[in-house]
Amino acid sequence: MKALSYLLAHRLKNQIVQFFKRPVHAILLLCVCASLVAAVVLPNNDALVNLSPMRNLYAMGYGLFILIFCLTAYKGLGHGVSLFTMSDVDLVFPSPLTPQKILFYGCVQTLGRYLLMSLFLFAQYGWMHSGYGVEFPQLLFVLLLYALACFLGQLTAMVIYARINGEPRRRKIATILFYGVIGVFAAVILVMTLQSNRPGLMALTTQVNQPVIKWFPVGGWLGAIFQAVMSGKPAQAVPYVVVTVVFAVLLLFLIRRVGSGFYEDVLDATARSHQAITAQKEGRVTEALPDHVKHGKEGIGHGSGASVLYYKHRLEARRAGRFLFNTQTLILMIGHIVFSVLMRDAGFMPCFAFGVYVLFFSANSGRWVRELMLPWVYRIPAASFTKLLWCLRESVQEVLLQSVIMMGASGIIVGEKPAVIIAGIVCHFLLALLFMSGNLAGDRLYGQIQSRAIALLLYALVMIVLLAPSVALLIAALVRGWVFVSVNFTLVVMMALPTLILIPLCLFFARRVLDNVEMNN
Amino acid sequence: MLEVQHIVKAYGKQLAVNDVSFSIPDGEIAVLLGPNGAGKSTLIKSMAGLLRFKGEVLVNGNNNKTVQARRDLGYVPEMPAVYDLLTVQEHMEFIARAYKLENWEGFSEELLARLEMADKKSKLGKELSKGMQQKLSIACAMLPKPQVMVLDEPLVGLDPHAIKELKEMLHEWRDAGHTLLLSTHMIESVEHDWDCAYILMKGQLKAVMRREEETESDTLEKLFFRITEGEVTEQ
Repeated sequence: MKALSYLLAHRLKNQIVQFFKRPVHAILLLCVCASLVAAVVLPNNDALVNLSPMRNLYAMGYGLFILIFCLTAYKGLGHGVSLFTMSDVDLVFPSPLTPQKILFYGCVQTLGRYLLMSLFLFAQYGWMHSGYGVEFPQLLFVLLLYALACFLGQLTAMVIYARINGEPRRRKIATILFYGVIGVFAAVILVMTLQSNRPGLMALTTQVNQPVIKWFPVGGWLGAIFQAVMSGKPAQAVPYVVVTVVFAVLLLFLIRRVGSGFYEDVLDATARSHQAITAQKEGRVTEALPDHVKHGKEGIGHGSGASVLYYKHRLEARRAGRFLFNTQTLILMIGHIVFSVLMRDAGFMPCFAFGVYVLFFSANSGRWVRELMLPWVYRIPAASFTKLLWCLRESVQEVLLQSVIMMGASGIIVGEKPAVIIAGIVCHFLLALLFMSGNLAGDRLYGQIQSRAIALLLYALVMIVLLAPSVALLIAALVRGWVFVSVNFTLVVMMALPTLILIPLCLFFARRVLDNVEMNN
Repeated sequence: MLEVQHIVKAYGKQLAVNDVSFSIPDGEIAVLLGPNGAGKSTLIKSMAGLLRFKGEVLVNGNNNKTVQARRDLGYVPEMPAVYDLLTVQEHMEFIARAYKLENWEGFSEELLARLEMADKKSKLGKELSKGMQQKLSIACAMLPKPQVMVLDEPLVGLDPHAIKELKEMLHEWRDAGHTLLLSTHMIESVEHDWDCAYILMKGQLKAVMRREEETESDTLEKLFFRITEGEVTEQ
């Protein structure tokens, strides 16, 4: 065991040393600390006396822990998950240490990793403190619960995988059970919400606070512990702590029962995770693909010169099993529609704003981003700008459809006028184009920067700067009381106007981006 | 003809390539030698137009960023980058369409056959082993029959047959008047395959040796070790 504790301690020490060797990390840490200090030392008294209902916070807690647990445990139905790294597989597994010790080492390592990951919640402290009066020690408690949700999800995935690996019948049963449990709880909450006097966001948060959700495995238990502690009734957390501990022990027992057999179960997952980490380090964008890709009709069939990129993208999208949108975009779109249903009393503008927020994640997730990571597009003998336009075409079509569906659906849900819906679609689409062209133009600014953190920061900055004129016009319209057709129509059009200048400007700046590449990986 | 003129490439304060110049005439195989981290891949990526750098690279007299130069320059990367969702045959079709090639099918068949990939035409990129991906990468680079080819460590990951076949193809291309530059850190792998050798060390060109200058007592290998082990410090 000494060897493993030595390994853990030295890796941690070296990780910390490496972290502070890069000035950008120190700056980021300083920013996080400063925001925490500001939130603690300079409390917003006005906000603290007008705290939001705590049931909203509890509902978010339940939602977060259940989501994290399910997403992690779900991996057990696929290729499994691993508590280990590729170095562990190569160096620790063949060592004479017992599998039990190695398993314990894996657990400590994984829990530590998730605790580290949970630090991102620090960034949420500001609104949690001012909105719900969450204190710093309570935030640390949330961090711990988050890490536990991830960790227990991972152990569950390992057990599921060990039981179903190579057993199609068991896999089928496990899949039905997994979705069945989620489906039952979702149906109960949905029915209860719809049966309430005024179905909506408020009714949903009220129903999520009902005892039934506390029965949801792990996520519900951790949510109940969170609710008990936050409401100042820690005694109510005891049964859920007990059941969580028993569940964890049971999982470890089940993993241990297979002895060194768990080595085999984690190999595939470890190799995959290693590939993903390597790809991330090298700045490559990888795509989640099905194991067995259906070839369908072979051949690209169309295109000559730069246009072949577009037809290749279409072929790749078909092979990837995509139906119009990628999974992430699809989830975001469904989320937007659900948001529209829940917020229908608030009108069109909150739905439009949420739709624009969704673009931050979806506008730059097209195949063109992946294309720019490979050398081919740069090597094709055609004009840089022509290649760029063909490269973007598939994504442009996708965001247009996305705008039509999202804005169309939310407009109908809130009962908005057709003119506003059409303006919303056009504006949403233009903003999507602005995000895409802005990202390309921004590459001139941060393309050469080696630090991914700074590049991301600059990307966010570029997007904010690009949106600033639209926001300024929007505020001006509100202050001056400009109204054409209707207030919402005016606001949406004000948002769209600056993009008509900014999009061509960004494309102009980005026109030579393929000639000025910096492909270090 | 490939001309490299005063290439300087820096990452922050670190110079990866420091004022390197040379030119390779048509009908010649040049090798770029150097230990790990010498700057070979950086130099080759700069030639291929995948990095920003100071200086100039001319391909048949055209700046390497021009459309004509891209057409005339074939590039085999160190790490094969194939499309996961395209079959081998579709990779060839993609190149043929992108380069607007005509009557390419016969040559594509020939390349795939010589690289023992004829039976892999329906395999997806993601289904290929690293060695197979490397072969596909080579086939794609060769399909447009570029006048100049730069190959970054092309022999790594290839099986003995593929190495033999690739070397034969390179000799054929040299004899047909093409310009070829290949980088490697393993001298023995190219000992019979070069007309001119450039030795790169810490980003600088330390020595140039032509085949006819090599004697029994002064071989390329001896020169390489003298340089890399610090005995020779200037060109």
